[in-house]
Amino acid sequence: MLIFQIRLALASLRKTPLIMGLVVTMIAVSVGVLMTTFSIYHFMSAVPMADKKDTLFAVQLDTLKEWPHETHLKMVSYKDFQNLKDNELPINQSASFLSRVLVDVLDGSQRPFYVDARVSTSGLFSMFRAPFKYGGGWDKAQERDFQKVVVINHEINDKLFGGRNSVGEKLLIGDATFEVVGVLDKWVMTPRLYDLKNTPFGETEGVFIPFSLVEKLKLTNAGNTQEAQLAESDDPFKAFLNSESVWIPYWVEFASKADADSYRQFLTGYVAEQQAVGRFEPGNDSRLVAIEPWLAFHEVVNETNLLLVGLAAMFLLVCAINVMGMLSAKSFGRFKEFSIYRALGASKALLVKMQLVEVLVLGVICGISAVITSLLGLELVKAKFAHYEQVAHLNMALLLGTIVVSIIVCLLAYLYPVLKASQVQPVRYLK
Amino acid sequence: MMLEIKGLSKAYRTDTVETKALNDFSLSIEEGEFVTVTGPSGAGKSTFLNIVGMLETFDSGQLLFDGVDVSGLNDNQRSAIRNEKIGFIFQGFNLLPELNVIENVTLPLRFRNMPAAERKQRAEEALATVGLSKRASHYPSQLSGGQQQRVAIARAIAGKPRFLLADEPTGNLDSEMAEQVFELIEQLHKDGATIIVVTHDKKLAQRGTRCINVLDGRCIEGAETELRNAS
Repeated sequence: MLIFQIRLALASLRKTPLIMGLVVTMIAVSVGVLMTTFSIYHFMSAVPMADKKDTLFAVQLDTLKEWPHETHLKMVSYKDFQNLKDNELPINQSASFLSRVLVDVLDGSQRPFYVDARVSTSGLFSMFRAPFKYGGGWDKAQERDFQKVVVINHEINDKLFGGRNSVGEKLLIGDATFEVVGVLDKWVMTPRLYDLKNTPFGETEGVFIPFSLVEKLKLTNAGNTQEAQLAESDDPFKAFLNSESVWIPYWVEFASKADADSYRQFLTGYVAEQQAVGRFEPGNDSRLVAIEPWLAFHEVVNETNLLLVGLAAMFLLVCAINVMGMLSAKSFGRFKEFSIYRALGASKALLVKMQLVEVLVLGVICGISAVITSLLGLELVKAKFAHYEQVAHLNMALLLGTIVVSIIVCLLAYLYPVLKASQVQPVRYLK
Repeated sequence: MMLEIKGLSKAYRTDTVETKALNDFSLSIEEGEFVTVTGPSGAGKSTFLNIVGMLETFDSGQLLFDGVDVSGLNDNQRSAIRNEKIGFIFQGFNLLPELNVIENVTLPLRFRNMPAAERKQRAEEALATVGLSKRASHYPSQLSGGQQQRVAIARAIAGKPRFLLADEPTGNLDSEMAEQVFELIEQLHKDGATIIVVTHDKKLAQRGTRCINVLDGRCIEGAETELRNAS
């Protein structure tokens, strides 16, 4: 009976191709727009590393109370990182910054090219669960020994080494020769928690270089900096490193909440200690910040995204009301057909069931169309706004959600016609 | 007793007007009877037929169908009786245009959840009875009016109902087609069905085993004799 009902439903939909075309188009476009905006909002507002919410924190050391510029970055200075890095309470630490480097191969077979680089401590890979295709990150000993080792992403690996396992291969970064110790697989982390100020939704950096090489290789920051007054010096790079400028996102991970509390006390003591030597003005905002407040502070999801979702929902509502009108008109034109069913022995309940099957068929057609519209919408967003590359996509849950939303919209729009149809008086339509 | 109606009343109401369609209507029909119903337009013939077919409710009185008081039945129970015990034949055929002949004929059997093989066999038998076996895969629009009415009759009898209700079954047909259709109905009666036919055609009305006249919503006794005398 169900297959027959589906056949009847399809036949009914075919009977009024114009109305059904309009219904499918309206639902597909409105649901598609909603899911496009919602999927972007969903991925932007995701909380990465949510399982570490009680043990993973950003360190915020506000070296100055009044900054010369309006922008206020809540990170740490190079000097403070050097002072804090040897504390053994954290089980893992990640300090990193965005840089830009020139990459070349040793044999000169390719042209050198610039690529975004992340200069980071070894802890970044394990802390943020970097997926490796080959090899892995460098260890603390290699970092301590200033070894020139590098992790590259799979795209750079494809470009330089044809995608093969390049662990142990050499490449040039600037003038220095580096050995590849790991190749990253595709790494999707939205937003990119380790550096929300610079690359919250960007591509994974091409190369990762040990933080310990900053001074040796004079690796410069290509990201945002809260710049403080620099001291007069013959070496501006050194002056910058020794300044109160904050520019390093610094994350610490603990084995327990108790360790985190102990570290907070340590941090309070450190600030007091620094104040005693003339740093950290009174009332400065220095503390450990958990993941969610950190995301909120950086306004990863701004109000515009939410507003767009709201507008899309209103557009869907308007379309649904229009669809309800069209489906009602179609249904009212079928009262004779419903009357025949009733005369032949169909109960009111069966009539409702038959129409619900029709709504489901229509909902699935609309849902598939809405998925296509959503995918097109997301491609359009990606084409127009490259920084949405990581967030403009549909996962399986959102894909199924698109179909379910379409079915629900059809169901709500068809509710009134279905109820009316079930109350049809056959004698009025049968002669 | 197949059908027993006692003091049935039915009125149609709008905000300002009440129109009595049936007024203290009483009638008994034995199993196997072939009853023709005549009367002027608006007398209540179709209302009577629709109430008997449980397509319409009534205001007061009693209707016993096969010994069961239908006023106490819910929609599912009435629908089940309509599906299994009653066959409808309409003046306008009322076939579904998007279904072919055999699908139209099997439709009430599907509502009964009859297995596909039995459904097919019943439909083929019904189509053979009305002489349309070769038209099983045709669509209604490909058939003449007479053929469409025969398909409607096949649909009505496919479920082997005990009661056939026909409302002006020949009203839309020319005389030759009308004769063929009426002969078919007579044959169904001979095969054992209890039949009520509403008709304006006095000649056809005389071919039933019993004829009643409906006037101002009442069943008039002795109409049979009057009709015979008139002819």
